[in-house]
Amino acid sequence: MKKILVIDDSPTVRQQVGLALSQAGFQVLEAVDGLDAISKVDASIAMLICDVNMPRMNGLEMLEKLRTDARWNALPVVMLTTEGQASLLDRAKKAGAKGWIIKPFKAHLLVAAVQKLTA
Amino acid sequence: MFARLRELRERVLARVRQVNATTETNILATGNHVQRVVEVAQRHIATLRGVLAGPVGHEDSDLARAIRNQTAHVRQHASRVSAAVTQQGTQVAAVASQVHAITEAAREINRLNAAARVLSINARIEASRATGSAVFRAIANEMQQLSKAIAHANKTVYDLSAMMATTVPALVEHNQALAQLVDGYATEAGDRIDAVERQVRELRAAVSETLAESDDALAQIVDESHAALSDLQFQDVCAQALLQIDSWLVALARDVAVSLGVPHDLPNAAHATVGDEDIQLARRDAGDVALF
Repeated sequence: MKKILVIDDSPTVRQQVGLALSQAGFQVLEAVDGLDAISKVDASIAMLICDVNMPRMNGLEMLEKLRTDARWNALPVVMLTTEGQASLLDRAKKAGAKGWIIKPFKAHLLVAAVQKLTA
Repeated sequence: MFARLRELRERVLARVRQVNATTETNILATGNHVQRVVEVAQRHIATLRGVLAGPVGHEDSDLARAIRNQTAHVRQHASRVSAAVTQQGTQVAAVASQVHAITEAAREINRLNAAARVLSINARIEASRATGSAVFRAIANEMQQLSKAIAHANKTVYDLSAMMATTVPALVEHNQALAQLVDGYATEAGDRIDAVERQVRELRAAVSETLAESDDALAQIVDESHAALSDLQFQDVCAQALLQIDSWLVALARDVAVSLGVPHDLPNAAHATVGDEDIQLARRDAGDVALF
């Protein structure tokens, strides 16, 4: 069972992503912000789904920090956010994000994206 | 003035946090309810599948095997009984034919005995003549004794064949009735077996249809639950939109502090990374997935 780390300061979003992915057969781990996520990333994680706006360390900062470590260069990260600004999207692309999903997400589209990126 | 503004900001922030916490708690509870509905539906359908598929749902179930074995046994048994009755009918017909032959043989013996009696009378006539010898007398006596013995034995054969001539047709009739009964039983048993097999097929089709409907219903429940969960995500958007008010108040308070020339040691906005632009509550591009 593939492990997906969901990073969001909203328990509601973590719950809903968790329900959608667990229904699709994924194991879901949770982190409440970027710092928490970095402490939880390990080799067993297949993919990260990450909010942008979070306290302590936001999603883009976390992504940029993650990419400085060679172990996580290829780890797929998809941003899941209310933000739609082109500047943020470009920054995420440059940092190596694999996708951008605008909240509120549609479960089947999220699951399809996760299945594609973890295949 | 600045103190009142600061106090207002703190009250607004506290209220926003309270509202967000309340809605979040309730939304989480709603999400859990949705999840439980899906789990209950999944369990129910799994149980239904187990119960229905067990007895008749598939070819190798215990009940399906038992019915198959039983119907095969009944068919085989009916066929054997029918063959035995037919064989018995053939044998009874052979006996009837033999009875007729025995009667014919008895008649022939009777005719021969009549000839023997004529020979006996002739021998007696020869013995009664003056030239007759004792040999003719002896022959006449022996022939008479033999004729009586044959007549006695033949009477027994006649009586037996007459009795069998009555009994054997009754046996033939009885055998025909038995054959009809066995045929009727075999036909009825065949019809009943066909009916059982038809009902099993119908039941299996109904089980299959019910399970397919259950799967559809489960898929619909899952889809609807996902749709419900998608709708619930607006709580996060609304929470961020409310916290944006704090960002604006902090910016305003700082501007006021600067214009009043008072120190502004205000803590940062509660959600510092949220931009200045109004967060759209009804997003047209919500759910869009862009993969790079």
